[in-house]
Amino acid sequence: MTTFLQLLVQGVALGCIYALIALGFTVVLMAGVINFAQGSFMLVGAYVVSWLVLNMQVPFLLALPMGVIVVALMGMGFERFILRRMSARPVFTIIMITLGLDIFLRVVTILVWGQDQRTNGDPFGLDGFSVGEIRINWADIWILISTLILLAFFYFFFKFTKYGVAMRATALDHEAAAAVGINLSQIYLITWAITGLVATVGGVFLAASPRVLDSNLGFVALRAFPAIILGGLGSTVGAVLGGLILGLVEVLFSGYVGTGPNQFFGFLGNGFYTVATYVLLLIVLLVRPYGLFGKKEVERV
Amino acid sequence: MSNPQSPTVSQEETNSGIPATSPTLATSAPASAGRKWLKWSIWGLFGLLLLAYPFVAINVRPWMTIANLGIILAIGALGLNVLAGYTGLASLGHAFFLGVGAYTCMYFGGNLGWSFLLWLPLAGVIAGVIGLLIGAITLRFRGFYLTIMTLGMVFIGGHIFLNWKEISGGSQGKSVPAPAIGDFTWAKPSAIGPIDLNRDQKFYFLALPILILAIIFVSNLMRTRMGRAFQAVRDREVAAELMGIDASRTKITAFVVSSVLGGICGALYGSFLTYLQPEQFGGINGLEFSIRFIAMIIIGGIASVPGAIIGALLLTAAPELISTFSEAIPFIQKGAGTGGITSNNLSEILYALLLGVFLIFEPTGIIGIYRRIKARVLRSKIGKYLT
Repeated sequence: MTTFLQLLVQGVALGCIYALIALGFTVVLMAGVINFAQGSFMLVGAYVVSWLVLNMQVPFLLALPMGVIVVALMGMGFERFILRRMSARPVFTIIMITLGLDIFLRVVTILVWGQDQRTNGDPFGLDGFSVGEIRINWADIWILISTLILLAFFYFFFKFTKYGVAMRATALDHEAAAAVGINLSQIYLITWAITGLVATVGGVFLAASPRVLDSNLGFVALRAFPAIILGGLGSTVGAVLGGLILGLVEVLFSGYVGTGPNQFFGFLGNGFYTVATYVLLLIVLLVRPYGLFGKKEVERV
Repeated sequence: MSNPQSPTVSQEETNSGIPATSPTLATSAPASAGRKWLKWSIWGLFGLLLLAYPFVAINVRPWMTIANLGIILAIGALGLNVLAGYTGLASLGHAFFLGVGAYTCMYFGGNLGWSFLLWLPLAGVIAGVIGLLIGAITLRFRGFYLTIMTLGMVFIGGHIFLNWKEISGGSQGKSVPAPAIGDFTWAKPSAIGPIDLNRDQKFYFLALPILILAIIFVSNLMRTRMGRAFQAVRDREVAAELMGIDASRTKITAFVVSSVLGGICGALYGSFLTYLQPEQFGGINGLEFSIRFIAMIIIGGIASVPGAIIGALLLTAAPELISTFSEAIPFIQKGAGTGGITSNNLSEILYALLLGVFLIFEPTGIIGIYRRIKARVLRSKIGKYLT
């Protein structure tokens, strides 16, 4: 039971990070783009924050917003100068351009900051407290709080602000949104800025102790893809729930499935947790082809 | 061919999947005897160059590796082009089928010791059957959904490769058998008549005919009813269905064709490299391998047979050449810890930039540039003498 609760705590913490990544994917998806470079956005954000704190002695609480601004500007620049030329191109092209950006940003990060592992410069370290026999790190609590704050912010943003509503309208139908006077290029820029925000926060917490920061950090984003489909493509609530499910599934599978002591289903092999989310996705999609919260697409001929 | 509208030219134009750059091309004058002669002599010269290449390039280090790997990967790139280029389905899972091919070769050629003549076709057949099963499940999804499902295929496939230790050797990896027919093996040099051939040269003369067969297969396939159906489904799925094309069957066929070519490519690839680790085809590395294939067909020219081959050769040659000639390139690290960037990072960044430049400025790839130049030349004064 203790193991289970301990895994649950870890699962929720990881799930929050996945939820942030999935939220980033979903927001950009509102502009009709799937952003395979999200992982590199997280990588750059985490490195910028780490560099500011450890090399420039900027306090962490100041470095985090600075990192967010850098990555948001990067995302907006990509939208403004590259993606905008690509409108009306096939899905395939858009996927490839973001994959190209992903490779580019990762190599540039390695060139600037090197291959070595480093810490992310957060003040939490390995400190924490115990509830009974369950160990909870302060970093996990902060992940939860930051995610909740961001989710509340987005809830109000999408529900009550002019830009939020305009973004939802754009996601539903670009042409209709443009026809009622929504400035699409402005909306696209905001979308990419938001992605920068959630990517940086997600990246920084992903590199928090006991994990470390290195150039492989961004690959975790690839494991978050099932979240956006699990919840239903384009649904923000779905993305967040999908992310939480993903985190829990991954941590529980890493705890219980394998060939070690007290583990089951050894035939699935060690490290099955890394693909468990994709297997889960496959099963869910076979039953519900549009995800748990998605709507059926209707195509007009 | 007495038809005044040369059928070969017009077919190539519709085949490309990209609108003709100029009407002059599609309606070019009947091929005169002079032009035909020119065409055949160019092809003959090209064939002679291909035959002579392994004897000229043999003592210059990277060139034989580039040729062999380029030829082998071109087979896989052709396969992906059927799926992504002609049928318009974006798959990130091509490396998985290469893995299936490579492990078929390992199991039947290595564990069971079968002949090359059996395991090579079998690599295609098994990859095709797995492609059929996966295609039947994943092709129900479109666009982004499909892409992410194929991404999942790479991850789940990589996990299976890694854990199926009997075949893949687990994380240690395992050696791959060299092609062998009877006593004649591609593992070591041998003399055929008066000519001494080393391992690389023998591989070249094995892989090149297979590539040529694949080229003939794909370019003929695109002229059949099924090939036209691929392109119709890509251009407008609903319209294609209205014309009586079974869209899901067409898509699954394209998926199977692409997996078969991928499997054959993977078997040859593993056999050429002689040792494989399962990580090469799954997970992050598998994804990067798949992306490299997509980059090949984008840089070479999407939905074009010569494009896929040019792209495969170019993307194979570039990193090899950069690492070979790194001494001569400024800013590159000469040995560990001497500052500058590693040749590996340089080729990765050039690769990403090349991909970006082609996607943004030249989406029809190198073949698109060639078509434009050809159209311009044919329209100019010189063109009069060529047609």
